Amino acid sequence: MKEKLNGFHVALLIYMIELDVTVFTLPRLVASEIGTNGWLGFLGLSLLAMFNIWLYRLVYKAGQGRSVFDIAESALPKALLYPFYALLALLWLSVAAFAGKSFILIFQTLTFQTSSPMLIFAVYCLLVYALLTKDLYSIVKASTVFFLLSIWMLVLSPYFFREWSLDRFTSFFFEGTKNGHSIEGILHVYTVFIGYELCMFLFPYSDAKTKLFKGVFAGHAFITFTNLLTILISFGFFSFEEVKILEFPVIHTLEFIEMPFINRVENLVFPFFLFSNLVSSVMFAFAALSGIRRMLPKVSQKKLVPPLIAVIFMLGFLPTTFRQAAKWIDISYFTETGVAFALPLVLLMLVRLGKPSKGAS
Amino acid sequence: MADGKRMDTKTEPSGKEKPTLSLVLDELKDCVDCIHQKLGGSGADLVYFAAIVDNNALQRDLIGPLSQASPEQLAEALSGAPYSSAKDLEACISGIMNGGAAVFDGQDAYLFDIPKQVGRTIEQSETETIITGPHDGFVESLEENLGVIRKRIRSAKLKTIALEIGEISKARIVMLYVEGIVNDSFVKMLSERIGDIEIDGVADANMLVQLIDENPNSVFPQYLTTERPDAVISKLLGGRIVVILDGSPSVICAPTSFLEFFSSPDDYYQRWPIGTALRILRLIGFIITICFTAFYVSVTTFHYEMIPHAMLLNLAESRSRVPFPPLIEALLMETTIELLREAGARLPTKIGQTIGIVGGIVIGQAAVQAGFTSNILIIAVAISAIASFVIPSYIMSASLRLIRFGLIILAGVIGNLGLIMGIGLLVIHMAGVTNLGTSYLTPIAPAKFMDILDTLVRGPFWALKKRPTISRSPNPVRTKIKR
Amino acid sequence: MYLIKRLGWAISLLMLGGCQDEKVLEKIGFVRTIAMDTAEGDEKALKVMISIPKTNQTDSIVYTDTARTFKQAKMRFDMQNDRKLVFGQLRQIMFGEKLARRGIWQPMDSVFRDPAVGIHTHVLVSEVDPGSYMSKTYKQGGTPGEYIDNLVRSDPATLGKFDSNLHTFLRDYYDDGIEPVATIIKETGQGLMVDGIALFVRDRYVSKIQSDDAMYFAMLRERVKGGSLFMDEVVTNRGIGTISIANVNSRRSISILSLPDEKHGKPAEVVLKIRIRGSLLEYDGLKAFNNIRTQPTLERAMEQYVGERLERLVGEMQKTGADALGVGIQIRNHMRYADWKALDWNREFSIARINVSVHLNIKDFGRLIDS
Repeated sequence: MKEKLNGFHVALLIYMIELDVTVFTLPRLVASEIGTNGWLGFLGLSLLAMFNIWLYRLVYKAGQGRSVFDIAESALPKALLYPFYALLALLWLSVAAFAGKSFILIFQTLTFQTSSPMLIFAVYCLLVYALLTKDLYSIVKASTVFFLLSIWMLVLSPYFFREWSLDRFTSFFFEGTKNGHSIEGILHVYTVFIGYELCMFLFPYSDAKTKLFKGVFAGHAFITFTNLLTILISFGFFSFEEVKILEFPVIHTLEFIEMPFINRVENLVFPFFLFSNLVSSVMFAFAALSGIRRMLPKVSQKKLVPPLIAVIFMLGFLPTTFRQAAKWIDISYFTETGVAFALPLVLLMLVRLGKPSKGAS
Repeated sequence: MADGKRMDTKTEPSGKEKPTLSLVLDELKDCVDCIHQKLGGSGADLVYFAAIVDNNALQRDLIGPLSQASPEQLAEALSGAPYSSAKDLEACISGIMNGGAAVFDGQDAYLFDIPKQVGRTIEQSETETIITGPHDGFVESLEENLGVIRKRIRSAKLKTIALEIGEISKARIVMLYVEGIVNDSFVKMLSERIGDIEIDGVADANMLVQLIDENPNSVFPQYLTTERPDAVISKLLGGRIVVILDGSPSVICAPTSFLEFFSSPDDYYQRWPIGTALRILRLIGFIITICFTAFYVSVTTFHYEMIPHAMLLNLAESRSRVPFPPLIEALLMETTIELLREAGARLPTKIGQTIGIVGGIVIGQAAVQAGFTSNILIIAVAISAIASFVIPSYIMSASLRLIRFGLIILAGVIGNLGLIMGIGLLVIHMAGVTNLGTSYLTPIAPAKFMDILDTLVRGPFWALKKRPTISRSPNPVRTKIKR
Repeated sequence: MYLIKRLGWAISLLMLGGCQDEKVLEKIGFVRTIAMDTAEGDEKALKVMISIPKTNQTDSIVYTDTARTFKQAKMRFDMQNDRKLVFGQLRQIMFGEKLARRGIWQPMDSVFRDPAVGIHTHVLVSEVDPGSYMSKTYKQGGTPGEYIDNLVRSDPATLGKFDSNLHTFLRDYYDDGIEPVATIIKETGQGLMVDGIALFVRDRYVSKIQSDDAMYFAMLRERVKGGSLFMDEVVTNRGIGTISIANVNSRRSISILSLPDEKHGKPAEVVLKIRIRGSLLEYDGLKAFNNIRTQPTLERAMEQYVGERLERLVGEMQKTGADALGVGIQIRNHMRYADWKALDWNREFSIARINVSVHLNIKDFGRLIDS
């Protein structure tokens, strides 16, 4: 299929990338880092992310839709850039690996407590491999189907209506945090939005008809809505202090749902998050793959994928316990946030640098 | 040409020589059903295969007139229709093999085409039946099938292209499309694909589709085959290409998407809310048939918390009498059901009914009472089996049954996560399947909202204005009903 | 080939990994009820009892042990039972009164921390040794665990409103504006009954609301749908009688008239407004009021009765400082954060001036009309 991407599918893709395992701890993080009525702060962070996406849009417009690699290489020599590509690829592979590993670790608190997480992670890597060997259009198609398969979970929200009370939000704003407000804490909450920066790899696959950034903004808005809904439900369903002590408030809310033919639906709903986690991992791995392919254009894609998957698998060995996983995730996600902000600024500069060598702009 | 081990020193005829009686007879030696007659009167030689020519017509239209003609009138009779001159040896042999009679007047060879209708007459298809609607179905003869279609689309725009397949079988293929609403690149692609196949022979259209598809290792069928003319007509009018293979009652439609295997023509003969409900029912049946038993296995093996407490003790009690773990029990039951089904397909009808009852009783009552399986599992397996037959396409439901086994094993090994991983693998696989270059998952991905009206649900006719986008038709407007 | 290869890899990898975590249904013993109380003689130990239903649906296996903590007792039970014990289908946790008065947080935490335990598990208090219920069979059918479960869920006096489960308990425990409650179970000659509501301050059981007052308490605490009220002494100008209204729907709202002021010693002033609507289905001794004209008088008399009874209830709650009504939440909504944190609400609640104002409407009289 030589056609370009459609904005609708881009929106779904961005939604699935941004939705990953961080959403489970989100209400707790918002409560302990931002405080009561922290959902307002959350909205503010979402706007910040939108600003970042707008920066990417500037790059897209300024570079006239060229691939970011083209922009970079037209301004700086390749030898200088290749180490950057490699470093960034490593960063993205580690984000992919840790997202997958932490999903499995969280899953293991529910069931399979004693199984070896690496074996399950191996199967996860197998799924990543299966999807990564296909081209981007197939990834987009698969993520559309995954979206449809996981969106039904929103339907469960009215179930909490009876037990929900606005009073539990308290009338205070931003009080009651664990250790006061800190940059690190707020960054922690911000990491829920990671993934929109991958839109820059979609540049070569889109054209004017795609309305690329309309799609990215729409996807981001939708995930903001979903996360906001989660936060609001948790804040009204549990009391404020309780949200701070529950490890995974979202799983806890799912536990509450009891229907005549099935109980404890979190056992069924939680595995569905595998899909969105998978899309996150695959797209980050795809970003790394694009970088590597740029450096080694002669090697076919099929040959490059197994080593990348092997690297992801190896990185998965790093976080073993839950605390360690949190530490590694913090490091990689914080770095990724920084990269997400820094890259468009750098690229804008490179576009300017690259102009004189192009001639007519 | 067939390469036999010949001991003679003569060179193989290339087929391009002028056809003479001796060459033809030499080619056709060792065929006892090949008749060589010398006609009285004109003295012409007649070569034909008695099994494939219409003997009555032969007698009436050829032997009769030519026997009475004199040698001078022979040349005159042979020069016009319905006789055609055979160009070379290959064409002459081909004409004879296709049910013609060759007449040799000493200099040239002439062919008279009188094939016999061999096979069934048009009757209802046995595997695809509906309640209301046309009850005719395709048969094995290419001409009859073509006739059924032509009678329903009486437009000169219905074009047919002839192809051939099989080095030895040389079966005839006809590709149909409606000019102006089909995408020409598809026609080209498909005819090239068929032309590229090098094989001795193809027995059935379902075999042919496996040779021309782009993902030969996929578990899903990629081109729709059907025996119903009304389905084929609607595909043609939707801008798709139809391929008929001589000798096969299944007709191929291309390009196809996954959801088309779930639609049946009688969705259109009912009113649209009912048609929509039926389609949704089929999709539910699809989900049940692949997931239900696997879900049972995963819940009883790993996720006991999900069982509502009203059912819990019942379930535990019925399971306590079974010596196997749930995974083995489920696999045993599923295998038994598959054995039953396969046996039922092979049994002669006379004993089929009896065995069916015995099988039902054996599986149902006795197995539970013997402690071989639990009754809840039997219900799960039976519902899955019934749900799999809701899908109109038999080939697709066979694929789904196979997938079900894979999901059961995954669920039995790692619970709900395994089930979800299995579904994930399936989706990833389907995302990569293409069909003449179009996506198998249209209209979900790429998403085309107008198409959803005709696939997931059945919209009212005034809403179905355009043809399906998968056919990439240059003329997409289909109806102009105002509402 | 492609799919089969992937599937094959997946399955073989998982076979290695997943098998030992099986919890095959018939090989596990699911614990339905846990009962805990203080051990005789030993201050620090707990007496723990668990009940595992058998598949014949009437009997259950009961284990008892005395241990330091719940998990230690569980390990000992595991050594006795032929099936692995799991808590995913836990339905009740029952606390003996002595333990409840001492504080139930520690044992409850050790049960609840396990993610397998569901949050619909009921939290119950029993005034006698809870273990004594668990070994008996009751003619209401089923194992004792099922009986208690159905009782608490369907008891019309509480209507499942005090489905005091782990979720509500924890939520109110952590919320500084409201205190948790639990249901009290008692044994009678014919079976078990819901004997009232246990009021807690944080995790200590402090006082009891009698079962007769349970419905009134429900109206004070939250909205009620489909309840029933029994009023035993309604005073009217034509006599005193008893009245029952059924199908009661009630709403409550709290108005804060003035906030508590510690510095000046001013207590909070609160008005609780209750609006009740119900069908009058039984009235004894007040037949004179059965017509539309005199209905308002009857309603006023009922309002008077209900108001007095509710204020009495509130007074009893104030004695122990257990704000199970959620007045604190409303106070909190009107105060600033620093002020609220500095306030000792339990004390303020006990000295607050709380008035109850009732508004009652009779929907209908049932199907009979007397003259």
